[in-house]
Amino acid sequence: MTWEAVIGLEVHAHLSTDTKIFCACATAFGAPPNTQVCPVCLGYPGALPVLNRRAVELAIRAALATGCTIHERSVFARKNYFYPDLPKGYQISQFDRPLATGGSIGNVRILRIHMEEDAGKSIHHGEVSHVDLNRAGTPLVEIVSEPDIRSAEEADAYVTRLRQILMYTEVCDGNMEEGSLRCDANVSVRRTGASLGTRAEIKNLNSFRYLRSAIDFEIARQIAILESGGTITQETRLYDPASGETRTMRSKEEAHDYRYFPDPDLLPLVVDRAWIDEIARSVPELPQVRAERYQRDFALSGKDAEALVTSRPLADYFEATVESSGNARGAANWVRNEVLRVLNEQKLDLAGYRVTPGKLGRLIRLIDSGAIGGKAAKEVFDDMSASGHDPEQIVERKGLGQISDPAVIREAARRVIERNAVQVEQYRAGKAQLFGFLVGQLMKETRGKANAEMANAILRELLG
Amino acid sequence: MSELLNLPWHEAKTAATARELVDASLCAIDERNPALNAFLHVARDAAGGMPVAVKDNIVTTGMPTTCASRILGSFVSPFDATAVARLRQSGCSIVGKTNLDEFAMGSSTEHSAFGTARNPWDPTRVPGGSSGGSAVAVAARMVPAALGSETGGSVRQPAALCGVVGLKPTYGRISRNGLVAFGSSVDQIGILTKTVRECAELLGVIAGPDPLDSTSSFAPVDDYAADLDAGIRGLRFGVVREAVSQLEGEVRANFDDALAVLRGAGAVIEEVSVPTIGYAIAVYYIVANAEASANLSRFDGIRYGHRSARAKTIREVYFESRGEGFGDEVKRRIMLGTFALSSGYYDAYYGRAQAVRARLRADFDAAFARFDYLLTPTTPEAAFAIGAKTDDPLAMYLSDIFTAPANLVGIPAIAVPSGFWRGKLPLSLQIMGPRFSERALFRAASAFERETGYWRELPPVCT
Amino acid sequence: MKIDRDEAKRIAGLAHLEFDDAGLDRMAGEMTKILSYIDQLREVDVAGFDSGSSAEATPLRDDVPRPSVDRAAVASNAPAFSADGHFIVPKVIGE
Repeated sequence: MTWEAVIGLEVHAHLSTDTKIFCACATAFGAPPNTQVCPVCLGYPGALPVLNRRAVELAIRAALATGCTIHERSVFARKNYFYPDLPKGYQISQFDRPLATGGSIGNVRILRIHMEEDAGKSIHHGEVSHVDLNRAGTPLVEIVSEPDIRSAEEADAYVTRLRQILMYTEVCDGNMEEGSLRCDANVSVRRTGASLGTRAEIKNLNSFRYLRSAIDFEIARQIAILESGGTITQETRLYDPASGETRTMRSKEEAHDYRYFPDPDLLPLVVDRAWIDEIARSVPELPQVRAERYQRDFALSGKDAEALVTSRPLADYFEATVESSGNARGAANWVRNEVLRVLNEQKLDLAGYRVTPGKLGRLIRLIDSGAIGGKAAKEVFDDMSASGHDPEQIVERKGLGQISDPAVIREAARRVIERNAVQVEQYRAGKAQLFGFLVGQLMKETRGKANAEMANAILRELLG
Repeated sequence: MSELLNLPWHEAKTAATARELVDASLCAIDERNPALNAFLHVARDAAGGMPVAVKDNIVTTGMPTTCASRILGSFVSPFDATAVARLRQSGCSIVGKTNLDEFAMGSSTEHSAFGTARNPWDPTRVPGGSSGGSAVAVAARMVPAALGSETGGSVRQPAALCGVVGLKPTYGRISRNGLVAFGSSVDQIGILTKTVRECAELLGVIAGPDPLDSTSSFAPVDDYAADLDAGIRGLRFGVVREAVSQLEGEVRANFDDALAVLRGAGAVIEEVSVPTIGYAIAVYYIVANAEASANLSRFDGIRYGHRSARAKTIREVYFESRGEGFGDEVKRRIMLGTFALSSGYYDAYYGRAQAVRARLRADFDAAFARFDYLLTPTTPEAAFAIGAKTDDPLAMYLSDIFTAPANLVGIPAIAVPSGFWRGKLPLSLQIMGPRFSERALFRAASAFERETGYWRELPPVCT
Repeated sequence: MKIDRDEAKRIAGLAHLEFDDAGLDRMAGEMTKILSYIDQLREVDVAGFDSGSSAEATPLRDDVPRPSVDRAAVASNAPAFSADGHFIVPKVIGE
């Protein structure tokens, strides 16, 4: 008779359009307050909404990428409530006829995806609040999951995968600090096997850390109440990062009656099969599928594959490196270990990174052909990162090339054996530790450039 | 000078310069408006051109828009309504904003926050509403044309009570961009003029699709004045049985006379039933008010308009500003509309009203399958006394009984003067047509006007 | 359909309209009267007729930015506007 948490998530994602959903105001982040506004998004009298085609396209893409069914006719509805950052006193959203229903991410089902407009921003300043309507009217998709999630970890995993999909498909930039992705969590608990408990909604969880903390706290809070014989109030709560607790929103007592009705300023949204199919063709290979392909085609481990698909640019970079190097495992190692290290350390973006897949691939080829050794390769790589020069140039300039021609090494080994007859005699008589001395002599003879593996093997062979 | 404005526009514009015509208009306004209160704002700096008045729920740059409400405060719109922009582009001059029932909610203009307008035929009586100011401006020959707006008859009904032509076009014919929304699925800008020709010409200027209004129609803009002289011989007119059966007295007699005129011109006239037409007012008052309850939520004292000086909390900003800023009729309609959408009542009220509306549309379609036009009087009575109906909202609503159906089903309708009640108050004939039949509508209205010539009679204030 | 004072109060709350008790009572009375007229809609046979979803499709707009309204115009219409460009309202408690 243990407790089970039942969690559903509503994720609001900003669509990566240039203009707002119902007007042609720019959506770029960070503009001075109330400078990206017009009569429509200001809620001025007489202004009317006109739907952004690209917003619809991105919403359809999000729905396709999560396996949803797209409804060819969907309806915009007014959700009526008063709030200072909601200029019209209603939000244009979708209610009983959403754009899409019935998808999934992993084993979490998606109930629906619908389009709506964002509200503006209020910032509190002591006794007053300041309202900026730049964000009002930004296109959103709201992605509602079924209550299939059972823990904070599962919630994190779900949002991680959803965010990744939205970024892969270029639907949303996934920037949570800028508010591009926001989560509300509906949390209830029940004894295993019992019917659903009363749920509380926690709004505006804008980082993975807050998402996990809030859910953990809320589960514990509800269990504590129920175990002491109390009941859960169905309510909306906010997470307070400072205390790590959720608390009731002190708004009106009465439950919201949103009085949804179809917005008479907009006709139904009609998307025909041909358009949906065209958009489907533009949906890139999704991360999960891509990772599986890497395991299959490149014999990478699951962990390696997952690490390489975390972002689409990274995965593209990796595959281009495979192409230019002809060595998938080599490419995987270098990208996962060295490239990511440099990007993290120096806070660089892959887009501007000096080591192109072409150059990295050629470095790997140099290693694979024996032209340079492992240690030299690292030096070449670091130089490439800083200078952007070609690997061959760097090897030449720094004299890092190694000798991998067996004939040349053989020649040098013979000279070493001739010159060190005494030690050779002693080695052959049984003093095995003299091998190291002779290898050292061979390396000196070749000015350190002999391919170490090859030098070892050839010397061993000639010494008998 | 103001006799210029007694001429039909195509004559006036050859008789004087654009500047003289605007000056004549401003002069007439100065002379006649104080007693009639048709104008809330006069644009003394108006450029030369055809003088047009604009109902004050249609936004204009460079001058206030009040919707005859305190809640707009001193709001000045940063954009022109599309219809206004098109008028300006064609050389018209906006000489002022006209009085109306607050937010277009009313049938008499008595619900204006700035005092009622008065009927130029008898200033103790209402001019009708909600576009009362526009109707007076045209009837008293202060302007040759005015824009009004229709939600339940608000152009046709005041046109009828003031003895001028009033057109409600097909829903979607004229862009609603810049018309302060009341009942979004029924609202249309309408045109008031003294003659049918002037109305047809102005429709051609402002009609047409607008990328800023998702509900505006791409149906081709016609040459609306092309058939004004074509006559109505052989055309089929259906008299709506359910409307006519209630008529009596002088209104009945006047309507019968109008039918005789049409017959004399060759029209074929029969009765036709539109069975659900009697429910139109009930449907209208749920649908329009429900939509209005949401449309008026944006008036909150935060971004523009009146903010209560007593408001200390955000709650007070909302409740006090709206409480102080809205008049009683507006509040009544917001309450009704909110109720009709609220949880538990939506299906029984809003849902049902929309279903009856669909049925009404089907009844009209059936009627138009057999007739080119449908006929009723425009109003059940002539202009009533100021104050006569203000205590009885329902009685006021019933003034729209013949006009509201056309709004609900989206068809065009025109009101033309049809004579006088007791020789002194105008009466009016309403002609309705199928969607986008404005050209044919003008044809019929013009034929009737040609036979009757009532537009040549001037109200006392002009003589 | 009868509207009493409590119901009028609930609706007024949703609509953010302020009434004193006398005002609520008056509103309740008027709404009752009007709604009883409207209740005749129940008699109509609407079998087969729904809210009449339009057959047309909403037009779609290109994703091309247009200039915004000048902030000075926004400021001049605003009842309270800060020097740094925000609408000012009394503190909003909670969300």
